[in-house]
Amino acid sequence: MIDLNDVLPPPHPNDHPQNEMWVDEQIWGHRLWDRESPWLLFLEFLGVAEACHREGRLLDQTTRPYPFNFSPQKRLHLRNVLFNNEAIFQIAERNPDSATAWAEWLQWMEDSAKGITRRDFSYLRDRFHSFQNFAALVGMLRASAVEAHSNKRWSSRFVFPFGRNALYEDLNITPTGTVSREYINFGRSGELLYQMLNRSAQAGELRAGLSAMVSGDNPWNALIGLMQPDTASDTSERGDSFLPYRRHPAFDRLGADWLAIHRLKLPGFDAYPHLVILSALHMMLYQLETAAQWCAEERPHFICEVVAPRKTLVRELSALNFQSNQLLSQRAVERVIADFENSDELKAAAAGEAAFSKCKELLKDRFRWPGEQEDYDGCSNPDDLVRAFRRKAVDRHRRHVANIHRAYGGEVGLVSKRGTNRLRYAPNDGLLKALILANVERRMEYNEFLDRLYDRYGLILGDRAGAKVLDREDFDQKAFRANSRRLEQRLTSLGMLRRLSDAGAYVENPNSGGGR
Amino acid sequence: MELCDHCGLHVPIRRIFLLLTNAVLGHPEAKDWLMRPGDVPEIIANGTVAKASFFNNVFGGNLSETRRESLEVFEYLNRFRIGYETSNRIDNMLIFGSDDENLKPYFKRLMEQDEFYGADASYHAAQREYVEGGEEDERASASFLQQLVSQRRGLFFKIPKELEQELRLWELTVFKYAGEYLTRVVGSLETGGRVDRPIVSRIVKGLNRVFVGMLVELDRDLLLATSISFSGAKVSQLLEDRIPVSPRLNERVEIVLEHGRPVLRVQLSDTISRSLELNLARYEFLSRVAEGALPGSFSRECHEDILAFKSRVLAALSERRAVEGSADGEALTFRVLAVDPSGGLLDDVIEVLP
Repeated sequence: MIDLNDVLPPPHPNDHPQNEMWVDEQIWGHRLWDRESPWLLFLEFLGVAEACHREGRLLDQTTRPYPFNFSPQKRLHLRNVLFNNEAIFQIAERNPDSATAWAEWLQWMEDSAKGITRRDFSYLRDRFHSFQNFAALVGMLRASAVEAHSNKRWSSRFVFPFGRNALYEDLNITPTGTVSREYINFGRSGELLYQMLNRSAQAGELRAGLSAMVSGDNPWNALIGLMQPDTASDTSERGDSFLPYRRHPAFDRLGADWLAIHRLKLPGFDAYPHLVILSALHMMLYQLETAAQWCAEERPHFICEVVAPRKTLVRELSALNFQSNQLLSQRAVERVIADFENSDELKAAAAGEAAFSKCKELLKDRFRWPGEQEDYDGCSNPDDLVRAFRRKAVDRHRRHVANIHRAYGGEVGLVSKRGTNRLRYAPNDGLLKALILANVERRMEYNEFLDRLYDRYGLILGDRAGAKVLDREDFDQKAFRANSRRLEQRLTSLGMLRRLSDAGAYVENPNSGGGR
Repeated sequence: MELCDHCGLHVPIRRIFLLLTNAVLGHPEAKDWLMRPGDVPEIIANGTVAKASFFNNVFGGNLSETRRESLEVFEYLNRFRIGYETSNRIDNMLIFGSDDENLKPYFKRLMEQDEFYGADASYHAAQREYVEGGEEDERASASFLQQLVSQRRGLFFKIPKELEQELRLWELTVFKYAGEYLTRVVGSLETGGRVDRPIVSRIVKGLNRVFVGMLVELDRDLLLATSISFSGAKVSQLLEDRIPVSPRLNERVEIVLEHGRPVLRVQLSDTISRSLELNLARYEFLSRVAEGALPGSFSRECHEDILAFKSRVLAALSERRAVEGSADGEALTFRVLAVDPSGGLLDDVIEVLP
């Protein structure tokens, strides 16, 4: 069950005038956004971290939990140079002479740059040896962009997060040049991620590593700095996001995984893909775990199939398990509403005088619905009102928040249809690798590793964990053993498992130990 | 068994007993695939002594496929694919050796002189049928092919030292560099010698191809390259540094023994080094990649291992830079790698003014 001492009071309704109601928000926060890929989630997170770092309060747990304000950069000069700059390569090719090329390009930018008042890019001319060099570097930076092959408009494209100079927020820029914050790609899940880490037990220990990530002491960050004018600082204050729990076991597990990856001291940006996967995975786990708490159910588990050539019992169980987890968050929403319906307060209001308006007030007080006029036009009786509310709340939940499990689960490589036509849990190599890096410091006995995956994430891969959660008639030790053997082979082929005798196999972290 | 050791495969003693028992007593037509005293006269009478080939039994050739796969020690040994790997020369000798003038001496020595498991009457009969028979009789040729597997296994053990080079003994295994590995790397290091320069060069070339993700020919330096974002990317175009193979200051690349096993050691400074255990599989992998095989298609396991090693060397490089201190105020330079059609390395420097 939810410990009410850990729950923060809701923000003032006027902070979120556009929110239709406050249901998903009180369970998970404002807000979990399903249309955000794990990489975008990570970028949004880094943007928040950079802003806090700039103000000297990175992962500073003494700040008040709400309102959580920060001022991310816009970096429109950089974004125009990198992504709103189709002509650069043609100009470079057409004009072998650097000076002519610069002149032509600067004129082109003057005509085409958007979202900035002074479209003067001449500062670039003195910073590069030749226009050709400049164009080559722009080409390389563009190729490094996150999700470079997606078909997004230029103001929603993001250069790789080399450091502070490369972080900025998602914007919408109209053809006339009006700039506004866009919430499609950065839907605030990244802000929640930051607050989760900020409230985790490891926040203090994570500060140094995260600070290095957002300051970016590397040549690429320096190069990106050079692509921008010296005076470029254009920020706006943001921050309506709300994370309802002061502390949560999911936050601590997230923090522990981040810390484990930091401690490996991987070179360059090699840690990033693992952090991206683990962050999104923990977001998903947070959602389901919280839902289970609200429903007063056991922590959810995930029966994972290690993909087999033929249909197996584990695959069947995994598909059923997936379906049941997929409905878990909706059950939490229904539970919250049912609790309200059964509350003495509502019953008393419904039995008394002016029942409808009193119930409406209660509903409004608790869930900020119905709004002023248009939200409810049904019969004026309490039952109809609550029924209509439940329908609307579930509908709204299904549109976005309910999809987190499937969307994030799929993108981190846990949920897949591979080899079948039904969704089930079938972890891919990237996820397995990230899990090993986060959980195995040097080497760990194979069964201990499986136990750990169950204890920390609820992942069931072998017979020991399977026996813990399944009924006797569903559980088939042989099938789960075969599943675990297939995992053993997969990990061996990834170079992450060695069998030293018939009694002992060890999962190894190939990046640990500094190599001696 | 030594090969198993060098592949990091551990075989307990009781498995070795199991292996030896099977090797001596195995016969595919006996009950439970093991001969009992009473079976022996019958087997002799049937003329199927060769099927009890010690050499075939060592690999569990007498067992059924599922039984064999369930026994770890056979699964290990069969990873070398002895019996299935071959060369034209060996197969020509096995198939045409009895009639071909050039091959006859080998055939006589290796096959006919082995009275127990060599070329007996049934082998000759099956061979003639295979060579002369039409294509319709698939069953007969399948049985001959099975005999060939058994004979190749025999040859693997029977080919004497002096013919090893000539007949390319190691082409009978999946590790064609295994012989070289055992004698010129492990053998040489264990007797206090060094590994020949061409071998080191080949391994470095293999490493370079994996590290850079392009078909480079360079083998004098080890290229430490990254892509703009991840060092593990398929193609790494940005050169961080080169480590020369021949010693220069404190930098070098060499193959040495560590804890009794050969490793490739990359020395970045007098105190910073990283080692890659050079087991047989990795040795074979890097050698084949140097020859032109594509890393991903040959062995994903090794490929991952080598990329992880690259990641560790790059981490060591940044450690060294931290010790040396960064050169402040210098212009930003980016060294971009490209490869010309002959595998030569083009190293383009782009400089940015601070």
